[in-house]
Amino acid sequence: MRPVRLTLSAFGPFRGVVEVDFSKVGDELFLIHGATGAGKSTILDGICYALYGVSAGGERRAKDLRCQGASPRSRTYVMFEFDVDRKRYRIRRSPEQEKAKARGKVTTERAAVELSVREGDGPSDESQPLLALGLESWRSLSEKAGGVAEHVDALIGLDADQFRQVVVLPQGRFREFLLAPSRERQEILESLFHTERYRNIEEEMRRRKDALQDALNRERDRRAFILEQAAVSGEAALRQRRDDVDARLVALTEEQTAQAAQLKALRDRVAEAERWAELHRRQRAATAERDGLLAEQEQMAQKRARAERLTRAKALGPDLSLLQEAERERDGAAARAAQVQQDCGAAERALTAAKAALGTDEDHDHKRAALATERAALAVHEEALGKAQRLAAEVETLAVQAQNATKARAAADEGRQQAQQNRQAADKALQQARLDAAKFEARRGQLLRLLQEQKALRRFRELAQERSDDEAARTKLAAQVAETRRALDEKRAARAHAERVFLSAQAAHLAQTLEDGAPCPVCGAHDHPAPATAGTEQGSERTWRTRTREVEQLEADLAALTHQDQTLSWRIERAAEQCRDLEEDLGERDLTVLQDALSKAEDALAKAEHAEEHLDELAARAQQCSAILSGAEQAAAAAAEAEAAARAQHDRARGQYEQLSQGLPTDAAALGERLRALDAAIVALDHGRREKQDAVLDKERALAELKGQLAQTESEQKERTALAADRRAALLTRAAAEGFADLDDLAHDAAASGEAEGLFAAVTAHQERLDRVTAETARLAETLAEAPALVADEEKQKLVQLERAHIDGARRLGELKAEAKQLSLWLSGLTETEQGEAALQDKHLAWGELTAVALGDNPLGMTFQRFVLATLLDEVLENASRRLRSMTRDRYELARARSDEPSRRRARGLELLVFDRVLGTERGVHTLSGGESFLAALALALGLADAVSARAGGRAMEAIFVDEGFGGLDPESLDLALDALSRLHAAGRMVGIISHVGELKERISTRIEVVRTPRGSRLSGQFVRAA
Amino acid sequence: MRFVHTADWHLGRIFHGVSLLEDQAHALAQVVEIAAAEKVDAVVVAGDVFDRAVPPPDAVALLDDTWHQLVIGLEIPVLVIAGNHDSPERIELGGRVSARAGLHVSGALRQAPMVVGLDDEHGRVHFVLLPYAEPGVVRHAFARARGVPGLGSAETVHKPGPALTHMVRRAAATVEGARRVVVAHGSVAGTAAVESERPLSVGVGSAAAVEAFDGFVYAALGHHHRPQSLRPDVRYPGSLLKYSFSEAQDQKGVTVVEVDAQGAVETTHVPLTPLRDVRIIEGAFAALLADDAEVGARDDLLRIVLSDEVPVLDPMGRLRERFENLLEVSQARLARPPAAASVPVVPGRLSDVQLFEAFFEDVLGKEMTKQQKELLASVVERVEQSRREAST
Repeated sequence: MRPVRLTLSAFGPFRGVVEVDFSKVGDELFLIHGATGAGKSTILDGICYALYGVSAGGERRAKDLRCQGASPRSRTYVMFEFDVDRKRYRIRRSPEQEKAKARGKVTTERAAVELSVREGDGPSDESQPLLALGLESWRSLSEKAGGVAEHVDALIGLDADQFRQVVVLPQGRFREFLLAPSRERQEILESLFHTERYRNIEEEMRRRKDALQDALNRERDRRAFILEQAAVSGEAALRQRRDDVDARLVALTEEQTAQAAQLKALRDRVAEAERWAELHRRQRAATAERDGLLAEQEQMAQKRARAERLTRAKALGPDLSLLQEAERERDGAAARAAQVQQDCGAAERALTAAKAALGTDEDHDHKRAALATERAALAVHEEALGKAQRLAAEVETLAVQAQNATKARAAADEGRQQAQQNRQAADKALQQARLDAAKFEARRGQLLRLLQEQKALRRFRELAQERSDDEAARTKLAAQVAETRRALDEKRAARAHAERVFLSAQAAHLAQTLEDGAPCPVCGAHDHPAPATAGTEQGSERTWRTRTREVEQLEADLAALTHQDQTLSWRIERAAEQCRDLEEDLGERDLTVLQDALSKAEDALAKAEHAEEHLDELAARAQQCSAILSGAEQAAAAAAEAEAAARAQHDRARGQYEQLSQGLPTDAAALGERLRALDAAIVALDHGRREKQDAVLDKERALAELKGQLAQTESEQKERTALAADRRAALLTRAAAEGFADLDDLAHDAAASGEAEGLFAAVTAHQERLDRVTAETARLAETLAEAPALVADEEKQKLVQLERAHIDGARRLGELKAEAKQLSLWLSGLTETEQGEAALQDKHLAWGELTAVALGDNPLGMTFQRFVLATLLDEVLENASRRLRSMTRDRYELARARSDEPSRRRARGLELLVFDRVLGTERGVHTLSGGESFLAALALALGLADAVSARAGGRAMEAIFVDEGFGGLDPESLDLALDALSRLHAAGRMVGIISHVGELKERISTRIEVVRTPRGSRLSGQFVRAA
Repeated sequence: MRFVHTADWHLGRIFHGVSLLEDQAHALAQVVEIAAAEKVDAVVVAGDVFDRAVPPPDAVALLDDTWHQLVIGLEIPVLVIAGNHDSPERIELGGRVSARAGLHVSGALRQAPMVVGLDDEHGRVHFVLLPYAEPGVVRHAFARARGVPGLGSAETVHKPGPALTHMVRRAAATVEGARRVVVAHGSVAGTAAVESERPLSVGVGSAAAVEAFDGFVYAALGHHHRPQSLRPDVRYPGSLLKYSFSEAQDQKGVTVVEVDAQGAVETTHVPLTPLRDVRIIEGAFAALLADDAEVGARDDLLRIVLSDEVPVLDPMGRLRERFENLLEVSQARLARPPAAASVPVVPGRLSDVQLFEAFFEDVLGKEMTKQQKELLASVVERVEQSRREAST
């Protein structure tokens, strides 16, 4: 199995989709590195998960593998492509995860898996041309978890646990093979090397041995059972019993035979006696019967006579029928005639009624004329009414017109009033404007004066403010001056002091050089009674100069201040002068009052200006209003006229209408209806009359018909009656001739004529019986003439007794036989078990040793399978030891523990030891240090992989991944381990190392880096494709 | 022009758990003395200066000292390249600054190689410094380089041999000069390798051909620890010290190279005396423990092979008392505790029946009877049959 490509989506710490292309790794040893927790082991988890649905280390459940920080829209899945036997396969697996749908609902997507194979890899595959073009087509092999697991098992040959022992060596876990108890190691080896066949052989042996044992036990049980049943202690006793029984059997059989012969003779005699008794009985019976029959003879004669009479009646039967028929027809015809009669009567009555209904012509004409007259009168009314209505409509129209005219006049009046008002207003405005314009000039002069006053007042205020400011400044300045003076005095004093000190120091200095007798450089004196001494203070020229400078500075400051003061005082005086001037001008004035007057004056001025401008406008407006007014007056007059005319028209029309509508009915509708009703009535009347006439004619016709029918039926009836009477007379005659009193009698007997046959038969039978019985009686009398004298009963008794004895004997015989048979069976059974046991025993011996050995009952305590496994393990260990020696500088080897004390409880033969070549001792693998056990486990895993691929039945593992463990190695051991791994990949195996050890990054240039960012991890490197 | 050619210092190396730094310092001091005594014009170090990419601090300090003594103390220019053990970027720290003082370090591979020109009385000798680079790096560096007539594209380089060849030939074609010396680190065909060298790759393609170095007056190579010349002008000076027991017979030293005006070279191997030698001693246990055993310096780094036939108890512990730097002990004829004699059983090559027979004999020590063999055959056949049935 060689990995080709791994794609992870939202898996572990990888939020998005990352892809590792193993095919590009080629033949290099490659490194997966990154910080702790970045997701290096996740890559192995991905491979394990894709193949088996579990994580590499087993501690992360499949459900926990989804990236916690992934967006709800991204799906978690792993896709793993790999090659096995030159075919390429692909597994895509995703866990159960929640899926956010568009509108905020959440559904749970179930876990899914799919295994596909790529088409086109085989030599004769049809899709090879597609591959050449770079198009891949995949055929799905299974989409069910179980099916995929089966396929994976078939392809890779390892289950998840074994995969994690041999191909993916997960962090901290791959020491398991090294440190596991023998039982687990055995399981792993079994599955890797398919040694179950040896286990099967063991089991088959065990099965056979057990079967043999069972058979043997069965034989023994059977033997015991037989003996128990027979209630004997042994076979010999049984034989004895059987011989006894046989003897008794023989004796009894002889006895029975003799008895049987006797029995036969006796039976014959009894049979004969019975025969004769029977004959007597029969004779008695026959005689009795004959007598009975003779008694019945008279009865029989009567029956015969009756039968003859019945026959005669039957002969007359047909004639009787004919008679009956004729009489029936006669009755029928009579009934029909009566019916027709009735119908005639009804038809006559109907005719009378119809005629009555018709009535006379006169009535009809009278009615009609009355209706026509009324109609004509109403028509005239109708016309007049129409005219009156039209006139009414006209009146209304005119009324409306009159009203409108009135309204128009009122409106015109209003208009005129309004125009008048407008003109008055316009005139007034014009006058006002003129007045205002005249005032303009006066207002302007006032305004100017007020402005001047305001300005002067403001200036006064300003000056006052300035003066007070200056005075304040001046006061401050005075204080400063005083201060400066004081400081100056101080500094002067200090300077003087400093000068003194300096000079005295100089003097003292000088004084030191004074020698008695030498002249003083200062005064020239030769005596120095009181040489200067240095004061307590340190003086120096520098100090003095400093002080001098300070004093000068202060003096300058003082001068400046004084100058300032002068300037200020001059300013103040000038301001005071100006204030005085202004005060004279202003007098008592308040700024606020002034302000008001000012604003008022401004307003007035504005208004006056405004008024002048609009003077012309107002004059024009006034003229306009006058014009409008005259127009309005005219309109008002016209409207009044119109109103008068309309009213006159309306009154006239109204007079006409009232005149016309006198004497007219008001309701036009009722009138119309009445007219229509009258028309309808006339029509109906005519129609009714015609109908009645038709009815009368109909009835007359019907009556005529019925009368004809009546005549017909009456004649028919007469005919039929005659025929019937004739027939009756004829029949009566004949019946009397045959001996029947009347026709009823005849009929009765004819009906009963069926009995005749039966009666005849009975008579005949009686006679036959009588003849037969008579004959039999005669015969029997003859036979009985020669009867012997046997008494059946006595013989029977003797027979019965003998029979009983015989039956008893037979029963005893039967019992004995059964017993003999049972005994024989038992005996033969015993013989069988003996033989069977003997046969089994042989086989058992032969198997015993074989199976015991196979199942572990041997000095080494190893079963067959375990022996094979141990041998396999030896091979693996040889490989592993070679590698381990090179990794530990020839120090350690791995070996299998030899069992020296057989113990069946512990799994023997598969325990591992470490052989220390330096010390020459063996010790358990638990005693290795962390780094050493890493190397040992690595060597072991590589040895396993070698052994597996060397097997015909094993699968070739073309890849191996080692997750961590390198951190526990010192630099030299690290070199050795890496050398061992490099040699591996040189042999054509892909070797992937996961480690955070920094040194490895320097040494291995083929790298995949797992970078951890706050937004999830990502991969970088040449073999990574970021999606 | 005369210069010292040395390589494979592997400073900081740990040898069987023992730090060799003191020995390396001792050796380097001799190298400096030789450089001074021979009055050389340059010192060339052809790679593997450190033993690992991130070396221990005291190794770094030792190197710093050495450079200082050579470049500032003796004022001899030093030309260094990175080997496969060095980290290219780290080793050329401060390289551009140090070049002004005379220490030229070529660490990371660049398209244009580092060339250092040194003058003698006849003119200039151009030293081309080619650092070690992995095939992937070589491909990347020269991916867009100008083509060189007769030299294929860098895209085809996938192994160390072709990588070295490509770099050397490109340098030969692009660097001017009458007298050119190339300094490179890698494997050339025909050399003997020892176990202390980290293999560059396994199998075909790991070595370059010696003809690749035509065109240079001298090829100062590094990587192989045994001092050897493939041609008079193509040489490995060998490592500073013995770094594995397979080098126990080597004589370690540095090479002094003389280039004359015409470009002819003469090489002299100057041996170094180690502080502690690396040796293999054979002998009987008791003899070795004896006080008067002639074993040479007792503090050398030793591997002892015991010739005793019987197993010795705690040989390492007891011998260590006498030989303080004993690193390995092995016994030539040491056997494991007696194992059960068994037929060499190779499960894949025997049939099931044969396997069982072997097992039987092994366990009980006697052969199976004829009857037992028949029974076994029947069982095996039955098992085989049911397996066939199950698989159909």
